[in-house]
Amino acid sequence: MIYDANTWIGHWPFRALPRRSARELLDQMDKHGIEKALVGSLHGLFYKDAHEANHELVQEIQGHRDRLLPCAVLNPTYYGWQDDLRQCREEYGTPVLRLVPDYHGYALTDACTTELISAAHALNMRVALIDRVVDPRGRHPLDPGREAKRDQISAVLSRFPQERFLMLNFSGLVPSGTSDGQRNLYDITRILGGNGLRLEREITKHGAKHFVVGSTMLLRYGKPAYLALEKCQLDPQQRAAVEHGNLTELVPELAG
Amino acid sequence: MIIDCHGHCSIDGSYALSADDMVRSLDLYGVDRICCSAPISAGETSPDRVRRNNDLILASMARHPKRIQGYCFVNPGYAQATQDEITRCVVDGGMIGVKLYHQYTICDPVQYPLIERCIELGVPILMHAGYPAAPELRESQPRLSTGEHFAEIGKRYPEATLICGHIGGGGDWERQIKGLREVPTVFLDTSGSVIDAGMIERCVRDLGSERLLFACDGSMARGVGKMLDADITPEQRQAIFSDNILSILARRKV
Repeated sequence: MIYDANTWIGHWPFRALPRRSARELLDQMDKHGIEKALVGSLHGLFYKDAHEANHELVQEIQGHRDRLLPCAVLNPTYYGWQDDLRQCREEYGTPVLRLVPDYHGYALTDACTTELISAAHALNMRVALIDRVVDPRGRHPLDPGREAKRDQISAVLSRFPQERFLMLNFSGLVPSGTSDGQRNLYDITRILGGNGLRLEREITKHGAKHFVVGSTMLLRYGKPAYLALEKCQLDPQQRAAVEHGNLTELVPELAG
Repeated sequence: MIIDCHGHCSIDGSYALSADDMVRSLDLYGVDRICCSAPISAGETSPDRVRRNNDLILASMARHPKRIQGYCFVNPGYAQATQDEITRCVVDGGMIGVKLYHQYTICDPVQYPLIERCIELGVPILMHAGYPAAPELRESQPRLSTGEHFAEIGKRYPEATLICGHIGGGGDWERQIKGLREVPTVFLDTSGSVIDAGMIERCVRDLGSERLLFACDGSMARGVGKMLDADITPEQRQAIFSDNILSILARRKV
């Protein structure tokens, strides 16, 4: 039983994607034996009013809520985000908020970001930080996305020492700046190097409790992440933790 | 059978994975053979240093003769040393071909004697290649070979066996494919850490599966994973996994 913490549907303006819809994501999940996924809207990164993408996302996955749970994208510099966040949580049942500061024109250390994260936590939503959406070597010149600044990531983690974050598309663990550096969960999608031998080493070194499955479908192929995990030598408890246990603990709505 | 046509290792782990770890990785991912090199990507590229790097591959081949094959890395700026090293490593040492990095583009005239030698021997040339989308990244590798460079050299030497390296090596891979469309004799390897959805299908659509060679370039999970995931036929997958590289190896005249 595998839950994927890092999937997307929708349009990407800089490249033709072969698949974009919820139905196509489900087809891919079936192909790879993935039971459930957290999913966000790709084009929500580009809307002036990001919340319009949240409406569309919820509509798109309607009828598939047993397998797909929505992740909201919101811009804390945009008027009315407080009401939008509340609607995401209370009306749409959205358990996770993904932050995309480069695409929405703010910094993780801005006061408005702190306010948004605090508001999300107050509504019992989990917050996902994303190291990067695309590889900088292939980034379109008009794509504003960059790799997250480590000092800003560390600052956010330190500012919320009691909270657990979902860390997506990071190439390794980020020191949290607190004595308990074990609370955040990292998806495995960028920990596949070392000719396929690195993921097992990282899980052995840091412990299975830090990792969750993440593929970045439908932006990228899903199989590499799933294959790398399949090839890891893990005991049944470790495997269950990475495949679904850790994520379900952070996002209990997945168990529903 | 699965053959990875673009990898890096060394006998002792001083360059990329050790030969033993490489074989462990091959076993884990079900890959039968790998073609490795030890190119110099930065700093001095003297004939002495080139020979030392190629020795790492020759020793790896000797340790795992059924699993690791070698490419001879050269800096074509040293013309005579390049010819001597090809004799030492390819003709006498059993390496399968030549590996070039970004010391010069593939279409630079300095490459002509080397290409003509490889035509004579019937062996392939694997070239580090890419088109970084960001200008600052292009400036960091000013002699990086692009699809356009391959188009030029492929027209000059249609009888050469040229392999454009790692379509997923990072950069504008769509642009690379468009350059290669003009030269049906040039092959493209599938390696690299970039696993953008649709990449393999686009290569097959625009170039044909007969021009693609499976490879990982150090990203075994991604390299194997994207090949298994791609929406292509079993026949196309088999051609890419091994048939095409086997036909290239059969061209050898020495």
